Amino acid sequence: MRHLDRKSSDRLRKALQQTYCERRHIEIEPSKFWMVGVMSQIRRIGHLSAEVDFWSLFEKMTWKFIPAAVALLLLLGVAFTQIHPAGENVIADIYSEENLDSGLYAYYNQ
Amino acid sequence: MNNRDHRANDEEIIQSVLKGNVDDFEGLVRRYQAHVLNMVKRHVPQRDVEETAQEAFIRAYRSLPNYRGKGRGFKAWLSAVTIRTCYDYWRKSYRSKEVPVSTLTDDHKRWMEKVIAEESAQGMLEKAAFDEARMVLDWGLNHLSAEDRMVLELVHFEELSGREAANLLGWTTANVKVRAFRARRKLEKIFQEIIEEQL
Repeated sequence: MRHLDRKSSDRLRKALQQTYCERRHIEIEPSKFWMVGVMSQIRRIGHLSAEVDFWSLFEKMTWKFIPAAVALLLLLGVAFTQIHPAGENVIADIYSEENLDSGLYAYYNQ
Repeated sequence: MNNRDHRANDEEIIQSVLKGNVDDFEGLVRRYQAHVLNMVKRHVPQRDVEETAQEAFIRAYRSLPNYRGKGRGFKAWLSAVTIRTCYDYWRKSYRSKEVPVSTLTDDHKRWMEKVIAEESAQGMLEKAAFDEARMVLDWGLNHLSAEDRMVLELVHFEELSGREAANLLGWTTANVKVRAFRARRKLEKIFQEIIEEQL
């Protein structure tokens, strides 16, 4: 059994990179029908509309904004949990106490 | 014709095609066919290069209304379309399980042993050993996903920057960097296992 150490790994990577780069030297001579094939398919597709497809643009923009929207929702969620859950009751209590002081309670005390 | 003239001329052809002169697109195909074929042959098996290059031009034609002339120009835009077509080629191949994951023969293992034993990189790729090297490379890449394969080829083998690869693939630079790092680790692990088991 042999362990692939850092040096060996680098040598293998370099050799594979060289092999990959050899692909550049492969001669590809497209057949004479290649161009005919491309153009016949393009003609089959036909005339393109130069107008911008707003639906596809909208779709693209929507996906772009999704991470921001999720982050905002999380932020709002955190903010809501930070608010005192009984906050409204406290405010109601203050008002009711004030009413008692300045209302009927004060009148009967006179 | 210099690059600036080419760009101006490309814009004229594109406007003409968008106005309905479909046959004018042939001018762009003729001008960039060598460029597209050169890109495709680095990422796709030789037998599928012509078809994939054809697919890239058809895809470019369909996307032409979305092409914005400002910025990097038609060649850069077409390069991105070509790379994404190659990426889709691999996605489809993996999905339909057309990617052969063959086993390495003794010749391939001998080649690997020779590579990791040699002190210099010279002589690793003599003519006789080149077929083995190519098979080992394809074998390793076939074990990766389409995403990992493309990002590894662009960043580690072609030595493009994260930003350049991101522009071609349509990903974020951060995504490219993270994926490139992970893909390289995966490939190393694949070879590590085969070397530990069998050499």
